[in-house]
Amino acid sequence: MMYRSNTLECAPLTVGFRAVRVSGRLTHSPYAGMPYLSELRPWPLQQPHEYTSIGMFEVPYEQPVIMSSQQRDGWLADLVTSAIQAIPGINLTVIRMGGPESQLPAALLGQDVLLANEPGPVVARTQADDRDGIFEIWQDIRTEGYSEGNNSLVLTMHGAALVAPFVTFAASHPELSRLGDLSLTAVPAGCGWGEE
Amino acid sequence: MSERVELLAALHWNMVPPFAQENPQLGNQVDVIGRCVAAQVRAVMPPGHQGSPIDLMLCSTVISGAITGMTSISDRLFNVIESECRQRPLAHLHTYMCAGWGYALSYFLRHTDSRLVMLSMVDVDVHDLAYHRAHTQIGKLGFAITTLLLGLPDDRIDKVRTGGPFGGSAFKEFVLALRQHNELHKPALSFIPFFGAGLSSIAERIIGAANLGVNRHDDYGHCFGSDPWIGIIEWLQRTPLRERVNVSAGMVALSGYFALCNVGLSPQTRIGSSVVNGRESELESEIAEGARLYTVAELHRKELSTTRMGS
Repeated sequence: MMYRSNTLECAPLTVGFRAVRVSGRLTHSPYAGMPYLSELRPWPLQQPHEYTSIGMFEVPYEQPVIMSSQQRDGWLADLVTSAIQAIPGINLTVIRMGGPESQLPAALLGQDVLLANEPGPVVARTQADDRDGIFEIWQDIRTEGYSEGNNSLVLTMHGAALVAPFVTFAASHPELSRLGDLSLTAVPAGCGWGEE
Repeated sequence: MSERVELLAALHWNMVPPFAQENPQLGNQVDVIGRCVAAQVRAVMPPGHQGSPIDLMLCSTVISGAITGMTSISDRLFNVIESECRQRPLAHLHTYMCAGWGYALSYFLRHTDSRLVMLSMVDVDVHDLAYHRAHTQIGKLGFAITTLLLGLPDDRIDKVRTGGPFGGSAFKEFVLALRQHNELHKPALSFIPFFGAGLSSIAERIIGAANLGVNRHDDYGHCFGSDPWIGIIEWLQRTPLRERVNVSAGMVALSGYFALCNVGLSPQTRIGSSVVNGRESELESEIAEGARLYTVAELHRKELSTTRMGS
């Protein structure tokens, strides 16, 4: 029931799907070679118990830090802006975002964007009121500082009319088209994720 | 039917730090936070509510990035809340900082048909950092958990305003937007963040001190997203409303964003507040006791009947 592909170019997606998901891993910085201001700064810790408590963030990760938080937010803002321009009918974008780091760019503070710890339940709640055209961005891009992550991206476009334009958009996007471990999953109308 | 956001119930706990440091493992602290939120949710739910779950969203500023950035920890918090009050939060907004409740409201108004929502501002410091007790620009900081039950109108357009990003602290843009907002909505009062004299004097000059709710900065410090709602609760505790009124609730996040909302209040608005010591045993007592909210009319019944008899 579900169509999968590990490339974006040869995906024969036209009609009959209600959502499509592109997932993979960013293996390089979109800003490679460009100098940027480091956002690494020490925690303002004073007491022994503070060092103990903050120690929970010392977790080994396999994936490298490839962006500062300001670069990540700028990259996500560009992704949202270019998707909205390329794909008419996006009504809401929901992005996975944890605690505050840098100042958010304007494109992420708009009325049709929500930055939440997990986007899935928000998407489901919105769909429960018969709203569609939702761009769901799950990301755990590692940034300087204490954020956890594996530089993964899972981009889901909800809405039958948006499936084909989104695949075209992703295939021509400079980073999305080159994601590591790239996969494409489309859900036929009447089926849920994982129903095959 | 109201054409504005209506405050139906609000419960505020002023959280005296340190928070749950007797067993400072994050999992234990998250469980305590979850039980606190659930206790507040149970209290603000409409009395006798048996219907479908009401939308619930959490908003935080000072809470640990581990709680909103690590999936296993955020799941644990949501699981505790759901098991204790049968309401699972839809999301936890952290990156908007103090202005988070404005962005939550904006989502519900613009992208759902929801008529009743609960917002819980959760700001306790599980790490107990000295750094979180004062801010160079704001002054003293305080901690709070505050849960609101809000009624949303049929007409969803322009009911909440969010703005940003702005350079500096966004305070100047916030105050000017509030002045414009007030010219349109003519609120009884405006409730804004509890900031120290440097920033609050700017608001007093532009909005007029008499038009602002009491600045409780000296007593509580800045309690993040809760401030305007604390101000509203305390004003209602002092003020015997005879009819519906509207007030402005505004919040600024010093990273450069703000939120503004025209909020309706009525004699039937249910409110409550208490000071809760952050020791785990005292938190558990408060949770077990279960908060009782009173309508504004109930709180002022004696004053209102005396006035009526004399009038």
